[in-house]
Amino acid sequence: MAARMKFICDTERCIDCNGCVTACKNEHELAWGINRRRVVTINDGIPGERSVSVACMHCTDAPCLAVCPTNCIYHTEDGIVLHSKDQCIGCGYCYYACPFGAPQFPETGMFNHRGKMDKCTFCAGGPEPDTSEAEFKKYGRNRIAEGKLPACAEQCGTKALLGGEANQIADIYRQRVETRGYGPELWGWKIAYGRPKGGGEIKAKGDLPRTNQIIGDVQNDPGRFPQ
Amino acid sequence: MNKIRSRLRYLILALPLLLTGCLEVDQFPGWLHGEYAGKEDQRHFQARFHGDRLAWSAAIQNRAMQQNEYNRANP
Repeated sequence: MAARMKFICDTERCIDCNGCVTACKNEHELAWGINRRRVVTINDGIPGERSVSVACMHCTDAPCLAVCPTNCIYHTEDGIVLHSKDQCIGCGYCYYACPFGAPQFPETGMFNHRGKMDKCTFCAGGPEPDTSEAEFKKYGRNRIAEGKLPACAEQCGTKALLGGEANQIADIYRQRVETRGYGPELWGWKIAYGRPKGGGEIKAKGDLPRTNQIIGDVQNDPGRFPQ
Repeated sequence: MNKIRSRLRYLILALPLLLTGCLEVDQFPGWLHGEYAGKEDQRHFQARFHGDRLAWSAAIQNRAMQQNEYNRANP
């Protein structure tokens, strides 16, 4: 089966540095006012605040694709959602349909004038010859065709944002959660990740103290070496 | 004996029908005649990887594994 390219953001690691946003803008030389990616902070300033980096999630069953009246949005065989700016009429339906607010519109003006939709391409360009000048001008750089992953994920300092083939990045995330001993404990965790665990069960559930909050633990004692 | 044999025959005839339920069908039209559902585009491995899909996918998977810092220093 073909690969399915996905992003995942580890909220335990995201430090709201906005490096991904900057890397994306720089890589694609985006216009003023367009942020294909942004960092959302939940419970800002309250203990337990979390940040998450959001862009197009390249949905398998993409609602934007379903509502587009000109059918300009398409799926590549690797599960990347792309669109044709030549066909886009800037109606903004995709913006209403998208649960992540991924579609961006470059202009604001009279009569709801928006310009052509722009969104995260998973650094895979669009319907122009790959790595061509025309593609770069319309859709940004095509790193996927160069055998690279999206700039935002590759530059992430804490490796909170992972991008790539879904099974692979899910494996990385699962290993992390098993190693640190706790996860987001979200509904659906077992369906997504619940296979027999090599690294042990998740120890702290709910509000119990987490291993990194235990004083004297290796992580909180820089003088000690891990066992 | 004949009864069992006829039952077995029906079972074997019904087997393909049962197994068709195990197919995973792609939900979107694939790349056909240089187009994705009418939008002209190249496949990712055509421009820089000389159409070598395996080489491209190996490059991508290598990069993806580099995101796992536990491979560098496992705590």
